[in-house]
Amino acid sequence: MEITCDKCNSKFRVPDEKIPAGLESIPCPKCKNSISINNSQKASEQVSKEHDQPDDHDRKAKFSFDEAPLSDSYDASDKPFDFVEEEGKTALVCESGSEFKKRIIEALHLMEYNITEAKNGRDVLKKMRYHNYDVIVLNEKFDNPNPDVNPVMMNLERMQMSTRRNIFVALLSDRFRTMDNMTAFQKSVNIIINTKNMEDFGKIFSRGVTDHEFFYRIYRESMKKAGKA
Amino acid sequence: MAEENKRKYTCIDYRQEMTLLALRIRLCGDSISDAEKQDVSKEIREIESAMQMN
Repeated sequence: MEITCDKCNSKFRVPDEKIPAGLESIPCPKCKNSISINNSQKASEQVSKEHDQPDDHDRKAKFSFDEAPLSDSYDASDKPFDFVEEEGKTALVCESGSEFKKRIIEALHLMEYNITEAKNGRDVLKKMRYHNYDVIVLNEKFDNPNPDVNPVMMNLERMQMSTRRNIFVALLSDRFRTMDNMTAFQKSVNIIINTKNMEDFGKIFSRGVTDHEFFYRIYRESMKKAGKA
Repeated sequence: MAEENKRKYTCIDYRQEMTLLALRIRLCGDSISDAEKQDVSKEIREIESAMQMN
């Protein structure tokens, strides 16, 4: 089925079998707008399919979830949150060290995040292309020994502000002090957590998220009232 | 199409705006020395140029 977001006009193809029966809407992977799944749209797709009678090869080719301008084939593992519930929060963990990763995942689990672990920088960009995460925990040396040219950070600071402000980014660093707000501003992240403070990761992270939510609360409420959220 | 052509507003733009604002406030301050005034003015010109304000 081809779905078009009426807010950002992105087009997506979703395999029919991936849409649970009775599901009426899905969040747009790009802008999070709720896209209603029109029954008539489903029906017309069905009729068109029956009419065309494509062979197996054609049918497989149709079953991709790519945005219209992209041509890669569909891989479900790239997009683990195709159908996350409305209030479900998602987190992307970009940390190579197993000890740190364990602590981060434990803390995020306690805060009820749906967690994705990224393998490398390329994997992060791929995952972010299809899903707007609520939280990204990034080690500044993730997949790159030089923390000043981290590709994930470069991507984040070039991201459109309307999208970026919905993501809370925690940067793990061994150079900067925990909660150094001026450095966080310079690095385009929401909070800095020094790796020496990883034992208290949960507490520091939670405090940062609370501050972030408080900071944007009025803005979000106003956007909601204006029908733009 | 018009939407696509519209320039993206990013963290980099926000940071530049805030830095420019802070430098302008500093320039208007009473406690600023002549040497610092020159440095701040130079930095303001550089940011304005980067922001294509000239």
